[in-house]
Amino acid sequence: MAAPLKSVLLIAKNANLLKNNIALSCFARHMTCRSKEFQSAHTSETLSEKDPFPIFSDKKVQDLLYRITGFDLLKAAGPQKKPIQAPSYKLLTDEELQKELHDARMKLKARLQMPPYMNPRKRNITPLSIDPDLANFDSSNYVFVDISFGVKDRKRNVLIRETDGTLRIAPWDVKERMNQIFNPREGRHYIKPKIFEEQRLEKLIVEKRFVYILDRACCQFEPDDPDFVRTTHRVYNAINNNQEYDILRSTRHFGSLAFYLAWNHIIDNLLLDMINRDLLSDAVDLINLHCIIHQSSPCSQAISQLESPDKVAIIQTYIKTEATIKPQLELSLQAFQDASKNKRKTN
Amino acid sequence: MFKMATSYLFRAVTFNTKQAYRIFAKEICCNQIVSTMTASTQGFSLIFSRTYTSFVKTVTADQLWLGVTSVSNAGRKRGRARSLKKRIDLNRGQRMGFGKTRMVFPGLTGPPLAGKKFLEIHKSKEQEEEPRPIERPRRKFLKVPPLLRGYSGRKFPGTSVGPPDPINDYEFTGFDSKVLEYKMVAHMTGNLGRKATISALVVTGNGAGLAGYAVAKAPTGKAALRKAKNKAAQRLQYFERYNDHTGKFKVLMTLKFSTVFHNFAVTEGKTTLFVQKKSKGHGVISHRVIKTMCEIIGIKDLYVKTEGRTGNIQNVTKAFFRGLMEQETHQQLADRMGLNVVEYRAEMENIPIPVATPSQGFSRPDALKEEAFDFDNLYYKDGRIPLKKYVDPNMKFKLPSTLKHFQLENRYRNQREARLLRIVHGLEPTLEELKIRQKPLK
Repeated sequence: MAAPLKSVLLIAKNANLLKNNIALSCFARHMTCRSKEFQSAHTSETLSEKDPFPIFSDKKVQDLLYRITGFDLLKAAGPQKKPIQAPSYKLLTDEELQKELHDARMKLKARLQMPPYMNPRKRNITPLSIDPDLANFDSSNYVFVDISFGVKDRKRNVLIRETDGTLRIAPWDVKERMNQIFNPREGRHYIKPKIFEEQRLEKLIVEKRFVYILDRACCQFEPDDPDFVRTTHRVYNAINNNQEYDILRSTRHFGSLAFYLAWNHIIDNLLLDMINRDLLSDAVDLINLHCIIHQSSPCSQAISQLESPDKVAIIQTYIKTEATIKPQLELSLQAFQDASKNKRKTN
Repeated sequence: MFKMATSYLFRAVTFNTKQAYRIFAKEICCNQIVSTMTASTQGFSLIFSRTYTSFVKTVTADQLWLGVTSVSNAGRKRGRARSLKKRIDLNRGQRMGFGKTRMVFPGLTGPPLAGKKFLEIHKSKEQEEEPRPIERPRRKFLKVPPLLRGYSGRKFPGTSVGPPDPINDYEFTGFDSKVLEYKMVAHMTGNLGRKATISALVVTGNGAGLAGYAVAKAPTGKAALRKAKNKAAQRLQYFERYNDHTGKFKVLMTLKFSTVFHNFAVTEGKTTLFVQKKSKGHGVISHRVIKTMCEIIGIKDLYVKTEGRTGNIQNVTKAFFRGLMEQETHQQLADRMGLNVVEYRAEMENIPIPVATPSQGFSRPDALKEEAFDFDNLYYKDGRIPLKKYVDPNMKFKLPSTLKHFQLENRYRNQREARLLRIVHGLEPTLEELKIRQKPLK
């Protein structure tokens, strides 16, 4: 569909006005026969490709991802860009301090909510109705937007009557532009910012401003926007290649990064990083995540058959069955075991 | 003939156009007549009053210079000739008859005849020489880059005089010294009468908390500066600054501020300083001498209000150094009160950051009432705190003059950002397109 040069907006102030429209009933029928939820709409479209979202949103997986993200209060807090302000001071007893710290943790925990990991959405091109009598009625497309109170952005009805008389559901980009007009969100731009162009992205990645790019992408795009998927995967790959995982720890993006790596069978470098940082329980969680996603993999089956699944045993099983950088992983694990033995001796 | 000759003459006075010169050269044979004519035309006052020029053209350059630079004999005896301007050669670097366009004037700057033919004025066909650069008088002193100059002009205060001289094997690496005061002082002696010496106040330090100051006097300025600098290096004091090296909280280290621990006031003689702790990005805003000291000590964010005798540099210096020394660190405060000192910064989302805990390992059990603790005014002595006048933040909207300004500006408030966005996305018309648009419609 060619983008309309000038689109005329017709705004129905009340959904009832639209209800009289034959097109809407047609649209409603269309929606019911498809699905109510966007996720399920997604699954129906991508039969060939496995949908990661149900696995990602599973409670067990979410808990696991939160665990490996970690939570450093100071890192989660800032520093933020704010107008210059003098700090304030308090004299607190230990009890009061613990309470304050607890409150601050509770407050900032919400910051770590992960952006959903989804496949890019597909275009819906089947028309709702074709009315040849309306062809060439006007030189512009007509966009119909439902602005009834309380309608969520993702569920808002946006239709297009094209110049040739075809009525169809508006493509995602039009829908998002309309949403931005009627329900603007702070930080989201009407036109896609240039920063998401390949060359500029490259520049920022070289500067290692990963969190900045990911935050901007979360702000600008829906999680199933092809641009969001492309940008985030680009950054995840860069982080994986440079092994800069620590930058994302204690941010909302670490879980998605780990999920992406596990989904694509490339967790070895992250695993190595975790073992080198003595984060053995995180390493085990990561392998468990890998097993949940790829249940028929040799590693998953080998672990389920383990008699005493302690941390080291699980990691060793993974190294034996699926690891691509076996010698490095084995060396690191050995070094960790030696160090812990020495510690025990000195204690 | 009379009129014509005079008009030629006056046109020739302008002297630059080629044609005028040619005409003048033709008429030059009747030079005699012209001179007599000028003499006799003095009676035509109506004509000449129009073309009257200043006396400058009627006297020679020598006479002019004499007029400007002469001093009477009596004046010369009184020393008025001392500050006389020297005569400047205004024709320096110029050669008579050779201009930029390299014209040849036959008979003046070249031969008049070629064979038997009179030559016209023409352009020289010789290879052009490189134009000789006009010699300029040499500077007495080398030009100092603006950032290295002191507070004012070619004066010492505010300038750097380098690190102190090494003592035995010890070299003061990373040190820098700056002049705070440089003045002539005098005393009377029986033999010489009024004897002048130079007094210099120099502060030296490494920009990381170590600094010292000293006053020294010597007959010459250079010696005084050196003496003061080396004396200052022997009187170094170490000042703890907030967030300098205590790597307790990594995030606070990344904020890279460096300031005092708390607000305080300090008085020396009739000089009073009110020092305020400031956050990162504020910068040092204070008396210029205090600013220099902060550079040397390594303080980046500070506000100081000076009161009383702010021209007494020695007292300002003394007061600032004493005030810094008498500070209470957060650790000392925690130990004194037996409580945790907790910081809340806006840029850190106002989360509690414990900057000091009591050395005993635990705090006292009873909590402090919040009203009883006012950190901002904790360290002013005698229970007197500086008056903070209320400034109405909405004052600008209340004054009719500024209100009108804001009303006018209101409609343009987003234009700048919007235009930038348009440029980024290539929606703004190019310069060529704008030119086309500006043309009237046909």
